[in-house]
Amino acid sequence: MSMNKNKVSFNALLAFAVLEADFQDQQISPSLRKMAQIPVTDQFTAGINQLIKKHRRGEKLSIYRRRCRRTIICISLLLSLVTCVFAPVKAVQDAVVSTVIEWNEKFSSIVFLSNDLSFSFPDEIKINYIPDGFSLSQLIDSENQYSAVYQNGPDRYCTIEIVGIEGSEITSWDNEHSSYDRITFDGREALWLTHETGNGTILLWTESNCLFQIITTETLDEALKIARNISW
Amino acid sequence: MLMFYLSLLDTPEEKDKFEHIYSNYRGLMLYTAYHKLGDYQLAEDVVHDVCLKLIDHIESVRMDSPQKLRAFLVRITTNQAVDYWRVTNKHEIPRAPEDISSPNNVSEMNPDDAVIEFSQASRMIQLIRNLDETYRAPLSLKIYGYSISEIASFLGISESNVKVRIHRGRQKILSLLSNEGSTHEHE
Repeated sequence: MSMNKNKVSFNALLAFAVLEADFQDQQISPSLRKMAQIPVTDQFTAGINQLIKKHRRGEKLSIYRRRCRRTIICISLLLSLVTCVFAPVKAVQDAVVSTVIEWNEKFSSIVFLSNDLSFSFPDEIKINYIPDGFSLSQLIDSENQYSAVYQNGPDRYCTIEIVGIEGSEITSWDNEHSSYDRITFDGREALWLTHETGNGTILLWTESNCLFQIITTETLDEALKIARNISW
Repeated sequence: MLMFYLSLLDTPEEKDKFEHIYSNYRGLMLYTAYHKLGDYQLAEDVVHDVCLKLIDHIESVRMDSPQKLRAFLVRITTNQAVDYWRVTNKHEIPRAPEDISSPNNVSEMNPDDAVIEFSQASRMIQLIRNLDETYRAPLSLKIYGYSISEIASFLGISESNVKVRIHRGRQKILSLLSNEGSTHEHE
């Protein structure tokens, strides 16, 4: 017979043979109906009933868990829908400004990035506190920038600069002789730069999509006091 | 989007597979266990343990074909009965005269590369029917599409042990067939 000369892979024939062996075993065993008549003891029936009850309890529990999970997902979806579509987007956009510090050989570039291109620069900015003895020597107040320089004699100064962040804003500072610290004041995250000589304080932070910089010969306390008293 | 998530979650409730299996195949499992052990009390204990395993892994049980389901139940019941026998009698079940589980019968050929004459099919079926349950159960379950981890759960052995048993079972069948001179390596 030509069929007998055909060669097949061992694995293919094995799969066929396993199925066929099981089928042949089934053929010689009694029918399911006949086997179902095998008597069982009460103890066995009780044990199995116990198992079935336990299994049903487990099933009920899993249905309950599934329903809970479905409810939680629906609530989460609705909440995220409300947050993303209906809640005021301004609050979300305020949190979008991110800060990146690039360390170079002798200076650091601090990059402020913002996704909010629709912001408007404050119309009027007021500096409500300046240390005693300082007077305004220079003021630039344009559409997207505010810069005020206060001086007290030839060596003491206090510069306040506010710039709107349109996409990104980069400011570079010495890193060879300065140290950088992250501080928080009135809930605002700020960068505090100090020179190794101890003279000079630079305070940088972002708020309402604007970059604020205070550069002064005075102490950090004074710089913070100025920062807290800027209004717009 | 909401509907998409809901459709994912709203899978149809698992039909009560276990109760279906128990009511239709209880007799089969008892018959199989009794056939192996020759003791009704022990056979009931075996079926009870098989039911426990089925409940624990009910989601893995394939219900697509009654014939395969029946073969699957026979295999795990026989395997459980053999384990009972070993525990209670502290020795191996006597093997069929043509037992191929002897360590000497190990082929050097790789089953993945071997080709075989189709006429050897009936011989191979006979060998499988005489194969020690240690090897037959994992081999059959693998061919029925169960994964190694599922087989390990049903047989109560480790995954590596399942792999070893499948490999050895195949090699032993191949070894016996190649001794009869009908098997060749792929060119």
